[in-house]
Amino acid sequence: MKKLATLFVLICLFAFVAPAQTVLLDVDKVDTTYSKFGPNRKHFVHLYFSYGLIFGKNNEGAKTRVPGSNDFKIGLRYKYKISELLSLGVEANYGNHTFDFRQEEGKVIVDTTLHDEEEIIMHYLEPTLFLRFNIGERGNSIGRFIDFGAGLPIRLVASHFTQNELPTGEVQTVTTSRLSYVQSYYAHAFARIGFNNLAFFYQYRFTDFFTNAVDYPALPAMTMGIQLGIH
Amino acid sequence: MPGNKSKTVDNRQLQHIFELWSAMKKQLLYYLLVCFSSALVAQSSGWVFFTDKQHSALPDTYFDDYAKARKDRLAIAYPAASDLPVSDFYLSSVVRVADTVWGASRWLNAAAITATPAQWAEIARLPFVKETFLQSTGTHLTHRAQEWPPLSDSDSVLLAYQTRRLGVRHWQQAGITGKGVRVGVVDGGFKGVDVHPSFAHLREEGRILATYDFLRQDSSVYGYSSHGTAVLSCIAGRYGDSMLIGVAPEVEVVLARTEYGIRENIQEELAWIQAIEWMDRFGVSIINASLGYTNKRYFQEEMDGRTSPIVRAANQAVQKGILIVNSSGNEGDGSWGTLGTPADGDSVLTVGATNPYTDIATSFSSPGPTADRRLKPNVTAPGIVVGATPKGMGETAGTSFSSPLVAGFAACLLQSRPALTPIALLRAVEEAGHLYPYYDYHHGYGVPIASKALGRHTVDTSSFIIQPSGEYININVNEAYLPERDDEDRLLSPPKHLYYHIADTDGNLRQYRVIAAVEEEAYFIEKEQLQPGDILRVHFEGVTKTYTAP
Repeated sequence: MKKLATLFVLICLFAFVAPAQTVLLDVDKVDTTYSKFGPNRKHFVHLYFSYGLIFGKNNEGAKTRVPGSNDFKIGLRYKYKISELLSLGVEANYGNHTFDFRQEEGKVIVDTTLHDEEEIIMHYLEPTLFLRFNIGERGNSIGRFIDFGAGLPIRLVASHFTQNELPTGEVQTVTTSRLSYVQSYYAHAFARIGFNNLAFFYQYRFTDFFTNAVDYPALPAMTMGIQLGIH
Repeated sequence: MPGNKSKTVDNRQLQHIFELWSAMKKQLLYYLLVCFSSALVAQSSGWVFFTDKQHSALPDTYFDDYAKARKDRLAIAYPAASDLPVSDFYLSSVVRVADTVWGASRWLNAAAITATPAQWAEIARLPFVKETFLQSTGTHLTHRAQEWPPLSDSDSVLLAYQTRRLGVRHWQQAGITGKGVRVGVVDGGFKGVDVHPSFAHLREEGRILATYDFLRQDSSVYGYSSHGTAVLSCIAGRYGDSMLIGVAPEVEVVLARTEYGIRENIQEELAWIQAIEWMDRFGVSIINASLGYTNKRYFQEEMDGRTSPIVRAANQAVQKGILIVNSSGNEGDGSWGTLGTPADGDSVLTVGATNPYTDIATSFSSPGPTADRRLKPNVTAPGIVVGATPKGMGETAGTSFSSPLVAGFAACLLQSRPALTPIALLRAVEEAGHLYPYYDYHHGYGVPIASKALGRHTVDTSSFIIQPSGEYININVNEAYLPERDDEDRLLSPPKHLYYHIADTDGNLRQYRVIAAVEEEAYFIEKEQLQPGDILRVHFEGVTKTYTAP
């Protein structure tokens, strides 16, 4: 049932002096038409959070650490139901993709200097497109699903961050932005498997993170983690 | 220039994409294959309804003597075709195809199974399969989690209120306590009922007739959830020697565990149906079910009283002489926004919750109507109560506890008028509602009160008048019913509630309100709000008056 205007007004009656018409319960429209918006209706929009760890082949000179290397995003997801089995969706995300570099001999990113901590962080806006296969019968809920999709994170800001403890005991941090050697975008494909609010995802970046202006080794391309839908 | 550089990078990037794609596609394809194969072999649960029962038979001892006597009294033929077990041949045929057969319902002539899509297709082709009904899982015990503090002074007041609101004093004065009436309770567990002092009278007098856990297939139900403990207390529990928790302390009860609580699957719905079939063997007349199924399994438009298997079974219960009393649900302020199933059944007595501090519907109480616009809930009862907990007593809230208060009330009514059929009993409870014949989709016919059921209720028809005048219809309240005021015009006592609704010619409500009556000219309605033939129905202090738009 959908009530366009259902309003409870539970008020302290004694606070009102001579109120001729104090409405305690008001339902001014009763109908039994149902929304086209909902988890298993034609349209559905919801917020979600995603957190994943970046891993994969650690090339010599560009070895990263987990969980320091991670990807976090917050996004808005729209799902259009084509059938009980199939839906199409788009997402708009803000996120950051962080590589936490191991500090050991042979490191070349971004140079050979060793630090206590060293990271490259890319903040991005990302549109994605996905196809959702639902499994099993369900009511007006998301249910079990498998998604396949692709995304295109577009750089907002990329920063290089180092942290060192000086002989004086002070901690020195240096952040360098506007990194010319980080691509302005990259592309990735992903698969998700989930149930209602929770999904596990696997994502593979299939473009370079660095531009061809530098000769850095490739960075790990895989991310695996969880997503939490807010609905 | 940045533009030129980007273009160069793009071309090289594209080449690189293909190279990388080649390198990783084996890995990704493997992942996709795993995901797809799991989707392809994914199992679905649901029901298989059969065309007939072949030649199955029922032993003469299936119903006990009390049950037979009750069926004789209500002129219910037994064994009916629906009492016969499901055909063994049909079941074994389904077992051969499906991965899992959870069990069968003789009333529905159906089996609950889990099978792959290919198996479902094969089963649907069997010549004796009438219908298949796939469904998902998910249920809600209609209880809102809340801290249960030890019984305090305020809890004592609340405890006294919950039975007083239903007029238990009148039942007691008439010597009516639910004695001789058998009430079934299906729930998620009855933790502590075997030791809690609130149920000592039931245990010591042998009035817990039978227990069965339909999920674990054994007779112990005194573990798991304590939801059923509080629910049972709101039917027949006592607090100390003098206070009642529910209104029918002398009923006989049959307890069944059918809900897992957190884990949800098709076994629960099957267990629920099997439990009420089992309770029929003991001659149970009333079954309380403080649970409902909503969005995980269904859509709001399916709350039409005929779609879900559980409501089909609940409707069948009436034909067996059983009235199902069901909580409307706690989705009033949730996204679902309406009642669940089986509360949508036309022969189910659906109970909403009132706030004991305001005596109007709580915001969480699921309102009606049903998807096909029938009135629901049928009645209401206090939904913030004090009930038994495994460790003592405590305040709890939810329509889960309104429902057993009314189930106990219905038991008392049945004791006073044992010839009532389930539908007649449902109507009698509605007619005992404090608003009856007024109704709305939050309160139904209001809170049933014993004095009305016993015909001892008197009303003053001069409490208000409906007075059409010009563009308006005025509702004027008799001054004697207004709250007292002091010299500064402050209210010294709470105002009484004035209810009105506007109904179309079919009785469907367009609008309804509850007003605090604080002045003689309590309310006015513009005539243009009414369409020709519409009925304005107003209720105040037990009196209902109507005005029909010309």
